[in-house]
Amino acid sequence: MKKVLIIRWCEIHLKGKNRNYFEKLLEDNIRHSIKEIPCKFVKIQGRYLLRDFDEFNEDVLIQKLLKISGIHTISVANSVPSTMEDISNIAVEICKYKKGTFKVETNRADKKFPIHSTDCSREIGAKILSSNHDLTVDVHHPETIVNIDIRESGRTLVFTDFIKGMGGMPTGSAGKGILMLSGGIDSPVAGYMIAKRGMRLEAIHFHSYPYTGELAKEKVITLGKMIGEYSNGLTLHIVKFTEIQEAIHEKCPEEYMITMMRRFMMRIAEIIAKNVGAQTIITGESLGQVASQTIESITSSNSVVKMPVLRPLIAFDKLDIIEISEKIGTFETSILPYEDCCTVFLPKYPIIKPKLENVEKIEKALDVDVLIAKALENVETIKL
Amino acid sequence: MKNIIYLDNGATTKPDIKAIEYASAFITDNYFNPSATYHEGIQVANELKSAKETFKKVIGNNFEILFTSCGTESDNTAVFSYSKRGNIVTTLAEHSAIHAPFTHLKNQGLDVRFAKINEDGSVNIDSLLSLIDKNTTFVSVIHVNNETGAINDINKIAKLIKQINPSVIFHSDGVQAFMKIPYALSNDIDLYSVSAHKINALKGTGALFINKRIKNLKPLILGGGQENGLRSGTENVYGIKVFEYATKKHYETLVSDYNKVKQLKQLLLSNLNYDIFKVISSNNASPYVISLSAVGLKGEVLMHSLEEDGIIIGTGSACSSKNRHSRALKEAGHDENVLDGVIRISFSYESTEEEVKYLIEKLNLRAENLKRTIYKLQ
Repeated sequence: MKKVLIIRWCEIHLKGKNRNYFEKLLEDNIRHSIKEIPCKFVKIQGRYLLRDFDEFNEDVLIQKLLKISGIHTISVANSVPSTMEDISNIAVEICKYKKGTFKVETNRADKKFPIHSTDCSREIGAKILSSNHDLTVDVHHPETIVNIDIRESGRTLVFTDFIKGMGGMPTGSAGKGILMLSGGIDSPVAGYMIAKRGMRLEAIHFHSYPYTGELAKEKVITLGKMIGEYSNGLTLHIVKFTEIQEAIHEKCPEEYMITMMRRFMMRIAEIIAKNVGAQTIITGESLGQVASQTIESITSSNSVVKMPVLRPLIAFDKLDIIEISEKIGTFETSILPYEDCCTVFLPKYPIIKPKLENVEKIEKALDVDVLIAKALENVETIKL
Repeated sequence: MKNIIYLDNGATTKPDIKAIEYASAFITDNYFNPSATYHEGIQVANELKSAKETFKKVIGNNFEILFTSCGTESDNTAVFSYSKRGNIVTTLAEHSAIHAPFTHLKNQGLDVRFAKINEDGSVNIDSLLSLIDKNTTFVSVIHVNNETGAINDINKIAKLIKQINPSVIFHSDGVQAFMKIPYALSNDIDLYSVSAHKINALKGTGALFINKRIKNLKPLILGGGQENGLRSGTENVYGIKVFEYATKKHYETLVSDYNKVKQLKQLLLSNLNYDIFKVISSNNASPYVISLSAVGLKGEVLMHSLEEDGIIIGTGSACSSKNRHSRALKEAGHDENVLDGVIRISFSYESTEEEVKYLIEKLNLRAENLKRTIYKLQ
């Protein structure tokens, strides 16, 4: 008995004339992701198949497929020759330990197969029933559906389960964005959500050595790798932010520290975005979550850039963000206690509703262009 | 690798290349299992025996040697062997290898008592003795505190405790004391933990010295019955032989090294900028471990700044909100400004005057600059 993975895609069928383009992208992404595992990639009507892999690689392949955007569901199917005997035997075997209700559904893609779908389902259903007395038939709301897919190749795929894929659109179908990646919970989730919509990502992180340590940086690199798994890799730009932080600390009122920092970060992000051909900046901001995420604060930081800024989490509650963060595996790393901004620079009472005109006036104390130019001289770029 | 001045020897030390060369035959040639009964195995077992003899010469013939994987394992073996009933007592300035098992037993419902400590991190003996009663079964007091270098006079403490209750099992964590400060263990000490990598041997090797008088030590690890059934698992022969060599070597120069390092400590302390620094360690502490605070600054930031000068020191605080301050120093009563600024400088026998002079220059300079930046001073 051979195992085959059936891969079904998401919204690609919605795309009219572009459909081939999207399918090709998804195909390339899958091929790229599994390139180190020996197996055969086959395209059939409306889905892909992976076959001829070693059994011990089955789980490895599934784990990789679960991180490819554009995949709707995956099934592990048994591939048998298209004879009623082979099909019934395998159907009986996979139902051996099942309990509750079931039904059989047959898809006869091979019209030369002598038995019609409904007859095939009935016959196999009867065999399963007689072999397992813990099962009863329910054709309306069965707990288990035994799917029989009779292919034109002369082989039949038999399976019961659908594993939910990442969903979304194939990576590379939605341009490129630059993710502002802190060490926190939100920004990796924001990156994941945009990656899911098919955007390729690069990320930018601001590092304030010696005020923050190497562990804070290592943590961001780990998070970057994790996001990269969902977006076909990720390039991380680490910008040394120390001088800017010190200058703001020295020349601006304490309560404006974060407001000012955000403006510098956005400007630098936009410059790096342009340099690497990205079309947008992505942040993990969620409305009102902290002082720098009120609409006034967002207005202040947004006003220094022209590029569109995507904020996928803007209407999410923290708990919902945490839920996704746990699902994609970044939560445990995000909560490691290495802060990305040393507490020495954090004001006790940050301004919550900064007025743009005041912010601009205060910023005049700083030589913005020079500070940014210097920071840009100190960018460490790592391909993850 | 860039040239660094390594002053975090309390964390670990640089393995002695000669010790490694000496023991390398136990990886390349004499790799046999010491439990095997053929000639080669027996030879290796004999090497372990001779290593034990070396340790006995150093620590006293009234002790048996149990090899473990680290100081933490030695501590845990001691605690879990004798903490079954009555009450058990320790100090608030123990290494986590003692503090965590004691806390665990407390959570399990055992009567666990913590003695107060003094500002320099040494135990308050009055407080300790007040906790001992006829139901006390086990007491553990660290010999040299790993954060401040404070030396507890364990011989005296063990004696006083046994005057109150002679059946107490007395343990001491000697990880920062062994082969660093000169001492002899009295017969009142029942158990004593040491670690190899703190004395220029390797990580993955430790020992528990067990007074021959005491019985019923319980193994933490069960299996093939190695080490007389007290610690199963094939012995780390190579690590043990490196440990043996390093111990022998340090033992020969223990007093002269101690005096040299004491002078280094003196040199450092006489040249600090006391507008910024406060010394937490006392004068009579182990000179190998010096706890300082750059009051009002962050120890971790100072540590990272010194990295840029090629100097590696330790820190007693973290720039994070969780477990921000040292547990022991907090218990010693230092305020937040002091706790935030804690750094630990720990010397090795190889540290030099030149290194300390460079440290003094950079430490003062970096701290002054940081203070200026953070407090916006001109």
